Amino acid sequence: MENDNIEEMDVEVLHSMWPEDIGNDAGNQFNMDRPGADQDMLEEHISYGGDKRPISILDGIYDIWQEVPRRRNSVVVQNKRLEIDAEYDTVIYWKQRAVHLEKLLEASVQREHMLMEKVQESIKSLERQSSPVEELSQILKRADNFLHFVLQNAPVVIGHQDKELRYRFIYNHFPSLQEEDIIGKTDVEIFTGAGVKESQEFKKEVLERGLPAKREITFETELFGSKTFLIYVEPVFSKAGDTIGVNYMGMDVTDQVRKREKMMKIREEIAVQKAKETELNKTIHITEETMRAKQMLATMSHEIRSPLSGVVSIAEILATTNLDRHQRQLLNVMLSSGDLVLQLINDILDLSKVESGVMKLEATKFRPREVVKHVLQTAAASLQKILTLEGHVADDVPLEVTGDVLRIRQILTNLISNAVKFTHEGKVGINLYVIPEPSSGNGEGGPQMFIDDQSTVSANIPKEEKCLSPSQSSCTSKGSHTQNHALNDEPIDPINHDDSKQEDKENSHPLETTVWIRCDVYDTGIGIPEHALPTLFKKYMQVSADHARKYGGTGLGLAICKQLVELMGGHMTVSSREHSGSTFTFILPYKVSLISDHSDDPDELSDMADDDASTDDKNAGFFQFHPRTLEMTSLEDTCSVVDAAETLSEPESFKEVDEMGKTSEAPEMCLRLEISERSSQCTSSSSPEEPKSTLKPKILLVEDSKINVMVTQSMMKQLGHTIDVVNNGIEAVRAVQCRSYDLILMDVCMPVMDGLQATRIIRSFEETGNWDAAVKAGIEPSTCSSDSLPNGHDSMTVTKRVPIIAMTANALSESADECYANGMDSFVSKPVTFQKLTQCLQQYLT
Amino acid sequence: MATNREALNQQLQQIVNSLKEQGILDNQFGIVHSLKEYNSPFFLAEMIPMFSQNVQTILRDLTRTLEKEPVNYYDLEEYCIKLKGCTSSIGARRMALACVTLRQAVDNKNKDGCDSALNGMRHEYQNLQSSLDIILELERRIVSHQA
Repeated sequence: MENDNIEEMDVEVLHSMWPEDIGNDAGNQFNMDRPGADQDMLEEHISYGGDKRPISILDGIYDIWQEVPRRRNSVVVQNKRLEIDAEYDTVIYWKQRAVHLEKLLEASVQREHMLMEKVQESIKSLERQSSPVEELSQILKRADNFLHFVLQNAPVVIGHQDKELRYRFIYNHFPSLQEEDIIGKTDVEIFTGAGVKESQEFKKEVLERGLPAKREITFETELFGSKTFLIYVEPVFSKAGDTIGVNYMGMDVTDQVRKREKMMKIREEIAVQKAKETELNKTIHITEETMRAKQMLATMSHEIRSPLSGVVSIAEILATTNLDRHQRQLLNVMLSSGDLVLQLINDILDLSKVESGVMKLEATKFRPREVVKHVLQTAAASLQKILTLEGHVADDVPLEVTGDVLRIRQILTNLISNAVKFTHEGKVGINLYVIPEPSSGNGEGGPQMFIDDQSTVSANIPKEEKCLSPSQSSCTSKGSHTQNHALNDEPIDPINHDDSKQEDKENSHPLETTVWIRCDVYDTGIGIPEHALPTLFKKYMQVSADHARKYGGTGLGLAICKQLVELMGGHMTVSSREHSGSTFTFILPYKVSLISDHSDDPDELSDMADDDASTDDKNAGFFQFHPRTLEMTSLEDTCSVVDAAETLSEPESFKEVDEMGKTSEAPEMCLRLEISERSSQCTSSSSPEEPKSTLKPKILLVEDSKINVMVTQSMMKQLGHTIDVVNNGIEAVRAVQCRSYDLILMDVCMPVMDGLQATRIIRSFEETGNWDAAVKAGIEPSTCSSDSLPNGHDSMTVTKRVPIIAMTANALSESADECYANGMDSFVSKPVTFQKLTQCLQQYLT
Repeated sequence: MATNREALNQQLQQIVNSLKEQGILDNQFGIVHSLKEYNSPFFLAEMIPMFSQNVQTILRDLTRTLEKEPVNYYDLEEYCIKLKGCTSSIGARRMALACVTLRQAVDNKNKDGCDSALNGMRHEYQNLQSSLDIILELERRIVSHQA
């Protein structure tokens, strides 16, 4: 029954914000969402504005009463008329009438009784029943309670405003406000701040449009700070259709908004990350491909190299066969191309090895001075231009360091060959010196672990054990060193450390330190334009296309050098000035063992490839080489010995005298040379001092080649000397018989009598005082008119020794050995240059 | 007139430089050339024909010696030295190098090697000679201008 009542009720419709089609009927009945079920009761409910949603209407009438049962009009009540037989107004009439009326009265009274009884009954039953009012008010109370509950506890602000947007009802308002603050006022009157005006405008809009709407408005008020509200506003119409106000609901969605924004941001980030991932994957893919390609290239290069070497070898063999000129030409082209390709392949292989990290670094002890010398020697041996090669190693560079000597040699050779290639005159050189450790981070992880400064090293002894293990870990590729130290039981000498200038940054390890050595490879060549500098070390880069054409090369050399240097933990730079020269610099760390070397080891002397095999020269820091003018390019062993010696000795003998502090070595050298089996130019002062002649020195040139005569004579003329010229050994002897000379330049290879024999004869005369040897050789004693000093038949007991300089085209049979053996004092290799002549004159004509 | 000489000189220098770059000549040639300043202006103009004659003679001798059986390596050696001497003196680098090759073959007593080396030498000489002819011509003109 209750249900029926409720169904019949026409309460104010509260629209639910929830979807309409969800929920069962039982649940829905409270919602009154679809009052369509009780359409008959709400026949005044008219939609405005074409909106199907029911719009709230405030009914003026509350039909709460139950329907009054309608009067039964269908019941016909009989109208009973009295019919009397007597005549009107007779006694019988009136008697009959009276009886009739008495009956009627009786019936009426009975009815009255019955009715009274019924009434009593009804009253009783009514009393028993609760009044509809009570029931209704109970229901109402319940509904009201529920409404209140909803209103109060829903996290929404619910309000009803009139046409002027003044609040009539408000539920769940902000706690700090009181009802009187709100009711009767508009929003803008109640509180101020951002968003208030907006919400007011919005409500006005709804009022005008007559359509409910919702909107999210962000408020920034002093009342409650910064909050975002979702407000739902709908207009309220009277039954007549006038807008009389709005209902409004506001929900605090600040958190939700924040979360929503976060979600968006997260989604963005995810998208970005996904994009990054795809990119990275692509990169990985590409890198893998590249690695594979590189490996393939390396493998292929290997494969290509073998057959190519075969081709080149066969071509070389072919070159030794009988070929006509055209064929030889073709073969030469083949050979040079083949060599170039081989070189290129080797470079590529090297580069890919370095890049792929496959290259393993060695750690061997070596002597920097030796390496420099060897590199320069090798370069000088194949030098085809007039250039001076020099090397200078600073004194503080240690005698022995640990490093990958092969690679270092490779780098130096490459740089030197570049320098030589691009220098047409002047010099090319290597400078080696120690530098303090570069402040900009170092490649080695090891030294970084030790922040000890020098002062702590002296108190090092207790730390020794600690030191061993870190240094082991720091020696990544230099394992040999740690073993050394493990074996060494020597007490650490703190003085050693403090005094050592080599150690700018020290390992705590007492027996080993790292030294940074800087190497400059400089030249006075064509230089490098500034714009080419940045790309210099890039692969396949040459300074310009012209360069590539003119000078050849593949452009890989510098790239390889740079990679190697960086692999070893160093750094490479270049500085250059066009037309002036360039300097390539690289710095590398080397480990140095502080265990004193047995530098006086005699065994090591014989190991040295050259004759500077003395303790002096291990420390020798300066070398200079001049081109072996147009000498053999490929050397046989014996040849190389001689030639190397000549290379060294010739300039050395000229140069060393000039050097500071090395003049003392001159006599030493001579001594050594006499003992040593290598040949060397003797700069000995054993030649007797000749009385200084105030006259112009008399010089004899013995030379058969007209060209050489012309050249030498002209040069001498330019130097201010006139010379006598003869064309073979016999004439030379005759000339000496006739005249005494201050200097003889003797060509070795001559027809009739060669220079060696002539010298022998002359020397025998000097020693014996007679010309018997000449006679033996078939030279008739001359009858020349003697001028100043007749070296005639009557000998003087003391005959001065004429310096005889051999002029060789540097052939085997003209080995310096033989020259000295035959009595010559020195030799000059052809072609004759001003330099050589000047030196000779200086040396022998003072 | 002077500028004409200068132009000639320049031309000469260019040729010499180009030969230097090719490695046919080296700096010695320049030195020899400059000797004329202290000696006679005809220095180079005289030297070149002398050189050519010299070389041709030696080449002839070499060929003859090689053709003989048995080969006289000693003589060959001597010729080699001679040739090397004069080529290096004038600065004919490539020719001097060719001498080296020949010398090696001679030392090895390798007749075929000698033959091929000699061929190479002749080839180099021909190369050089054509350039020397031009240089000689220029030099003559320069000198005549001076006179």
